[in-house]
Amino acid sequence: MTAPPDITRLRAKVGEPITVRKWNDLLGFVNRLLSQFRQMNGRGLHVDEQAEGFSLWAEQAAVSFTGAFHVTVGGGEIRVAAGTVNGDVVPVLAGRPLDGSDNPGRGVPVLKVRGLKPNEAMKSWVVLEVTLGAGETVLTPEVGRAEIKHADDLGARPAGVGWLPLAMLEWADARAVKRVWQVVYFNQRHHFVMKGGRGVHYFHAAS
Amino acid sequence: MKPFSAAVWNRMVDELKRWWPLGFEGADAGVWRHPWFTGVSWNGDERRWEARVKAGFVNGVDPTVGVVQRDGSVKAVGLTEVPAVPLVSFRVPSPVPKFFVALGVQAGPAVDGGALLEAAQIGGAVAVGGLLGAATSTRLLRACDLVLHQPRPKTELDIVTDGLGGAAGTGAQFRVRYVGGVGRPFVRATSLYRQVVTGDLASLVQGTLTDAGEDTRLVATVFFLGPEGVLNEEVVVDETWTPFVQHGLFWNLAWSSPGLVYVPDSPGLRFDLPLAGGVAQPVINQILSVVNDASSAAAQFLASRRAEGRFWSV
Repeated sequence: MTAPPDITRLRAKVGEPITVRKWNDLLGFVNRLLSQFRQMNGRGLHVDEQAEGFSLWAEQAAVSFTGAFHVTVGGGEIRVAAGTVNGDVVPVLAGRPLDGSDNPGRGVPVLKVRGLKPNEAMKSWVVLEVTLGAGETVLTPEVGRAEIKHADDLGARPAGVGWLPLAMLEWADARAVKRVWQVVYFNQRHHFVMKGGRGVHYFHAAS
Repeated sequence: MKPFSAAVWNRMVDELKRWWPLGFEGADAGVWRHPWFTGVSWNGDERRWEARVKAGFVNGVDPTVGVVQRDGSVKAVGLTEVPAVPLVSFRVPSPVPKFFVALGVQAGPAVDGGALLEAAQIGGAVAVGGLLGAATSTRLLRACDLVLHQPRPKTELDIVTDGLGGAAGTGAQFRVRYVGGVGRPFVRATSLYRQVVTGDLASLVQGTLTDAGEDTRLVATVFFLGPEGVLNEEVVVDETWTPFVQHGLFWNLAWSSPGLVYVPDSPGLRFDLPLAGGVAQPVINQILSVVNDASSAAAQFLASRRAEGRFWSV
């Protein structure tokens, strides 16, 4: 928070004459105040200068939104909120369904930060990997699997594996995650097509 | 006139103090913003407006912004580091959005904004004011665009002619080459965004339209509303103007180019031309003629080999 100029400094001592300089000081304070309003211009606030004065318009605050596959890091663990692929495929994380539906008493699965590492740029990603059976083009629970993993690069995956970064992790050092940048906000649709002799996996936000 | 006493003066200062703000904090502080959300603020030191874009991602990577260093070099800084994008080049928007018409900007003629900008650059400040400063207008409007660029391979055509065409004519073999590679996306400010359209096959053969080697999307348009009553002389967009952002992107993106999966060794497109010999311009004219006759095959050939990619939300 930025503090405005302290106008009480303009108070006069008993018997002190109110000079033109004192007036100019007052004008200076008002101008500095206006200047600070202008610095807020565009930061959720519109300072609209008109002939008679100025108006302040505040933008309405956005409603908080997390969405599917929301990635959080805390307590040395990475958690990924529920999300689906093609409607009914629930990805697995650390061998368990993302929503913990296999054993509700154990809660949802997590990834331990310990043992993970960032790349040289101190970044890594939480990714969704889809593996399809040979000859299959549409992921269903019967013909493939979706898995959430940690990756320190966005390079090519083995043939037959499609992947989508869910979030980028920014690391403070080799052991601690500083910030999570969410990439995916929606459940996903996935399909696989052959092009030019190569297979391509496509992920789309599910409407 | 009796001068102010210190007591009267202090009463006035105390009254002002009651209405004096306790502090300033951005109204957007702590509020959730969508990817690509663009905030604009005045940099008093550099005397310019700057935009900051909340990091959006393309294929899981944050685009960069070119930031000028003290030594004059330009460093690519990722959006996650919240770099400032200087906004220094503006256009006169046309048509004027109704929102701004209601605030006193003249709607103006429905002409191309780029043409108005060029007119402004030629005619100077007074010309700009004159364009919008008609009797009903009380304020000016300027705009600029923030654009996402995704570098990708560029399509080029090789046309090889030979004497193996039908009836001793010339054979023309089209092959597509891809030049360059996929680069990290970046964001730039421009006075006016024009989407690059890669030409059709005939245009590529003629060399009249080139492939820019990148795909683009409009991130946001930033409008600046001038102070009331400032019409003709004052065209510098300074801190007395009010910024408004119209967003074009709201979610993170995936991007893919067909050129990335095209196999270069696949057969090219071949035409047999009735013209014997291989003189350049007549051959091209013949090719264009044949391309027109076989437009379906030519269009299909090019469509399947274009490197133009597309973006979609994830």
